[in-house]
Amino acid sequence: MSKFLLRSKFDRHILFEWILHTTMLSFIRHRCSWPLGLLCVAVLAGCGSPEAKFRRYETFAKKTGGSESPRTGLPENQWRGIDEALAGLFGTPDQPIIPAVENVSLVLDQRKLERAAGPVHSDELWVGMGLYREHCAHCHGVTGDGNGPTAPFLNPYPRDYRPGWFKFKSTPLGAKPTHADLKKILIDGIPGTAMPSFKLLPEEEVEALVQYVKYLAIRGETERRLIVLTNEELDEGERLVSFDVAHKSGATEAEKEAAQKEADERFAEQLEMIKETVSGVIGRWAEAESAAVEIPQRPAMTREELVASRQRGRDLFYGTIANCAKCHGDSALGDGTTNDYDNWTKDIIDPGKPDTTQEMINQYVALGFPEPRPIKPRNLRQGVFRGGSRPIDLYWRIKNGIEGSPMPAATPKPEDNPFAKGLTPNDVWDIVNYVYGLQFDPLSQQPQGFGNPLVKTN
Amino acid sequence: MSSAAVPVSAGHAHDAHGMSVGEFVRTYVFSLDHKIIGLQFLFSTLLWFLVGGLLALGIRWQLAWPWTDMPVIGRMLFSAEGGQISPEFYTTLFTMHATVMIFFVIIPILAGAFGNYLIPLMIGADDMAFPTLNMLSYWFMWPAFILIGLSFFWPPYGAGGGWTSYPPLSAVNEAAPGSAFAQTIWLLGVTCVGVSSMMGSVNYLTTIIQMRAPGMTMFRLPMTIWGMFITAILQAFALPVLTAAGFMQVTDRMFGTGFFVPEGLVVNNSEPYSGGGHPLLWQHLFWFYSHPAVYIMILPAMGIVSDIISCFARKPIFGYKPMVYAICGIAGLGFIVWGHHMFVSGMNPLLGMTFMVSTMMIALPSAVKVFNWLGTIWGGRIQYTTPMLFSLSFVSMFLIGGLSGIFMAATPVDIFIHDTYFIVAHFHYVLFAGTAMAVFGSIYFWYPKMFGRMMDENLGKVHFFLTFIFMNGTFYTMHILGAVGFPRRLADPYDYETFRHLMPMNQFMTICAIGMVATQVIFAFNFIYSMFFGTPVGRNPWGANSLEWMAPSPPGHGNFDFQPIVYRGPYEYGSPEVDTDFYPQTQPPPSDPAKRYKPDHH
Amino acid sequence: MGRFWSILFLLVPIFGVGVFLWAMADWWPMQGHWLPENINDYGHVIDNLFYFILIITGIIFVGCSLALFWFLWKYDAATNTEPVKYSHGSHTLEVVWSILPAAALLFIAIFQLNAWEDQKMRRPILNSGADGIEGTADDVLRPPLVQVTGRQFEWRIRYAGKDNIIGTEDDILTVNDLHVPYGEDIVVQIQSMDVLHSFFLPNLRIKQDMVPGMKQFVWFRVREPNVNNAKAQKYDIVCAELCGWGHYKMRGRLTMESRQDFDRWLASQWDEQNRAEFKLTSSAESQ
Repeated sequence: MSKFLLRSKFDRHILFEWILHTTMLSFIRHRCSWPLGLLCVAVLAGCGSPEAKFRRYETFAKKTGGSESPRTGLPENQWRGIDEALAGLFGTPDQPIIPAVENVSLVLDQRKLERAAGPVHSDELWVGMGLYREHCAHCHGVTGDGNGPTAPFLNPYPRDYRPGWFKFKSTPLGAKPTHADLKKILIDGIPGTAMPSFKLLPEEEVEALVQYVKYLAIRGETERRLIVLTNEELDEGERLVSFDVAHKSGATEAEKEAAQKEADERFAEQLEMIKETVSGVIGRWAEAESAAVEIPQRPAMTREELVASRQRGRDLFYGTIANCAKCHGDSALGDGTTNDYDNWTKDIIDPGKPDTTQEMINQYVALGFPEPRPIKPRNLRQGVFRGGSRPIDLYWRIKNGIEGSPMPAATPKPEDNPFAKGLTPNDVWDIVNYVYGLQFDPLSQQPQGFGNPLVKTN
Repeated sequence: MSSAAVPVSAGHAHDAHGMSVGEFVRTYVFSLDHKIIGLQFLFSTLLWFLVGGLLALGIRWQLAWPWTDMPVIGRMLFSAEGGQISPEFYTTLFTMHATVMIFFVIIPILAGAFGNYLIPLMIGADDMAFPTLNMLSYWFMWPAFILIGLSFFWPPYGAGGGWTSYPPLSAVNEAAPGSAFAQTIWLLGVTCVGVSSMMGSVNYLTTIIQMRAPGMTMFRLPMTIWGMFITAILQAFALPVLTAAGFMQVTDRMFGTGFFVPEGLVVNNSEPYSGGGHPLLWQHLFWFYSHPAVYIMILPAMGIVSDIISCFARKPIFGYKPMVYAICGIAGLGFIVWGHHMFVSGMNPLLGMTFMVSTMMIALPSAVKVFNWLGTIWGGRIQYTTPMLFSLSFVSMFLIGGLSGIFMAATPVDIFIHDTYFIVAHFHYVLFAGTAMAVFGSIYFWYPKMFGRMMDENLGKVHFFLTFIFMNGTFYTMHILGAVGFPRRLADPYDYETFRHLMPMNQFMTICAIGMVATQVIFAFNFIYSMFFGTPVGRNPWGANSLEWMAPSPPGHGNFDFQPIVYRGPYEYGSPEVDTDFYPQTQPPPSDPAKRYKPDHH
Repeated sequence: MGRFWSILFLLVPIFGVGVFLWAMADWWPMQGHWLPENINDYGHVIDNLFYFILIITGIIFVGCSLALFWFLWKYDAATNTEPVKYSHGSHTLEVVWSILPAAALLFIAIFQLNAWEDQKMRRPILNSGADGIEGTADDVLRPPLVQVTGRQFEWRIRYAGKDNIIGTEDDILTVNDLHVPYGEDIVVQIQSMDVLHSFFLPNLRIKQDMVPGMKQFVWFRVREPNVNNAKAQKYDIVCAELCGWGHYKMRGRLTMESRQDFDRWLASQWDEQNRAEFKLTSSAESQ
């Protein structure tokens, strides 16, 4: 009957039946529901709704193109080429598609993507659709650029998925996170940030959302590479191929084939390059599943041994090998190095560099780049650990470092050379024990707030 | 007219033509005439009424079809998201809806528009005691209009702390950083409204005490004036507290004073606040004003309704003095019930008990008023005019709003229904179904006095009928939602299993709300059309008693073309002393003592 | 027209009462449009008070509305030929209808003081202290089982653990997922980390604002259901005080389960919280 009513979480028939019955008009239902429905549609729906669109990655294009480039980094026609290539590969926010490259099924699942994509609505079976825009988009943006309407005033900013870097993961620096890593973030949230826990969503909805996050990350990384490709390989005025015809919905098989063939013939080389690009990105996501870093069992300890372990951890914390105190501060309050920036900022522009002017930053801010804020080392005395507070989480943070942040990976100590600098697994466990214990240190305790004197608190 | 009428000043109504620009500005813009100021208030508040109503539709849309593209607003501001509004915009929507409706519509339309227009006319004065102060009280609304209007659109988002502006959410920038500066100017705007109301209230008090016509004793005042008088007292004594609290919150926001911020508070990874204050302090200060403000929003309406009902029942008001005492009682008790907004706020539960008792007691004078209104229509000859219908619906709806208040006054029950739609239902029954209906009634009633022409009665009745139906469709169902525990101010309540099945009910309510707003088009048309093409009328089209009907329609500058002298109260309808069924206050009693009415008892 | 308008006002009590009865009767399409199931032993009294007030106000509502209707019907100027009753009121009536509601209201107020004290002031005790008398100053209050901290925009939950003290190393941490056992007095310590929140459990008839800087307690007891269907039951935790843009996101879940299940769940949380080994082979199922 109408696109508009379908977009509610409930089926439209229920709504109309409900109205008709509560107004005791059920006896005329069969005659009147159509005019009534049309009236409602005419009054309420207005004239069509705008379609959500992916935002162009202009900050990156501008940075890649340099100061000589146009305001948005690339000329309009080159942008169109990129838009069309991306639309052909990935579809639109309302109708995602999976790029037709090998191994893609290891990473992405079309049906789950469709569950998460599109405007908020419910399908014929009342299954909630458009999950990403219901739960995520107002912070992370429709594009996954971490620039939704709510984003500018969150601290820290929501993650920009497009570079494909994720902080809290079990894999080493440079690798993609595993599926389970992303899922853990969704389920537990990120303490100390605005990322809430989505533990109470049904399992399949979380799965769909994780898939969609990966999809956006892959799309973003592809966009970055296409921008580089455009900048490096193409002449001025030349643009990427338009091969979305082949994927356009509604086209018959024959049309698709013909279009694909034509595109193949004319731009075989370029197409190959793009596909290679995409499959390279997807391949790295597929690899990540087996790249998680194993953690040896933490040695069992008595209370006294734990105290000793913490003492050793403390020594390492302040020592020259781990040297955690350099950034996290002598007090471990996270006040050591406070003027560094994260890679999402430095990737576009590094405000820490002496030759960076406010004017240069503003140029990116005008393109939607969040106002740069220094990254703060964690205050370890609060017991708030963003990537999780389980021993294995802390171990991974120390062992692997934190992607995109100044937190480095620990240098492993070679087993055959006792004099080389580095940390053994037990050293890492000592630091974990020390860091975890800091929140219970008497110095970390908050002063008690005032209670209600008439309610006994013992 | 009256044989004792002594013309003191001929009405010098200005002819708008052939006026110099300066004269025009002095007469119609920066006017010192209470009637022009009253009309300025009326037009401004009616425009804001429209804005507030449209904002309400935004809220209702989100509750009925969450995250779908919101017509107009969503498409204007959120086209990149496919018209889907963001959650903080929803907080802005309901904050601005409440702010506009309370501070820009209900309070100024009652005290500002009708108070200004009616007080001098009904007490037989030629103007307010302090005309310049009166003009200022209107023009101090404009900084408020501008500041709060700006705070709606100030990037990135407007004020989103709710109209109650509870700290720390609204006192700490980082808690709602989207409304950083917007919240500050919102507070300043509310302060300006306060200043405006205070100027008005001082003026009303002085005028009513000092400038009554000869013979107009306090107990011959119409109930409207009593309502305005008590309201002015409430404003004069309660508003300074809000103004002070508002400034305290502004300094908390701008200079880090920490009146309302506890020590060491960290929000959104901000630096810790030195604080040392307490969030509950704001709630006490705020409600110390805002609870009396609830009565500021209803007492004049009660007075107006009493006048209209008595006039169209063609019968003296039942229990005039008990009605006056009831208003005084409501005002007095109104100062010691503010804690009932805070039963579950963390306030000492022992205090909750005392507030419960005082709150229960405040229902008593309200009940007395309802009984007296029923007594007034008993045995009358009821004329079903549009103002009468709106006034009767006030009685009927205020009954619902008043009775649902008892649920909230009962502390244990309030634990469950606090901050649910039961509360929303309650105050919409009091403020919309109550006060707004009285406002519509009084517009229909005094329109001929204001513009010298009648509003169309048939259109008025259609307007009443549709508003009445849609209003109940929208608000009555809120009680049911409240009984399920459906909370206020949630952008998407349907994530909760407990409330998921309530969506069809919300859709029904939204459709009713759209109908209700659409109905007001009839009113707007009638209002504007009648101004030019309505039936011209004389001084007293309704056959009413009170003084304003003795003046020309519309009254000229200086109001009366004779010196009114008052012989009796304003409710002598159906008096055996005269042949007409009304008996104006200025008409001298019959000279023959045998004709005078002698009551059987008392 | 007077007849028409009278009937419109007659519809008010008819629909007013009708809608409530309809919702209470749980008829289509208003199933579940009434007080949600109450599971708290201390919560029944709130429901009873609600019904008590509903009946009293319902009677007054119907009475006044019918009087309004009848007067409108009878005294319509178009049909009423009697002269207007020229009356200025009745002293007796005023006294009667002042005293009766005053008595009723005062009764309602005093009637529920005890319920309020049970809800907010008389925290369950562990034992009655040295003097063996309950309600005296030396009563040992029941310590909180769990601490719930409101935060923009989630519930951080901290179980006291084995030592029954919150804030020690054996605390068990979860988020948004509150489990408690049946059949015991449960005391929950609530507080806020940033702005005002309100801890609202519709099914337990509990609501208490969380105020930063204040430590407060709520308590409840859920009777164990019949053995036949004694599986864990889940209820919503709602935030009922505006706490910012993500107010609606603060959805928590309360799971009621038997003491054994609860202990088992707590132990599994403790194990997960102390997970200190990771092997790739196991990564696929759990992490």
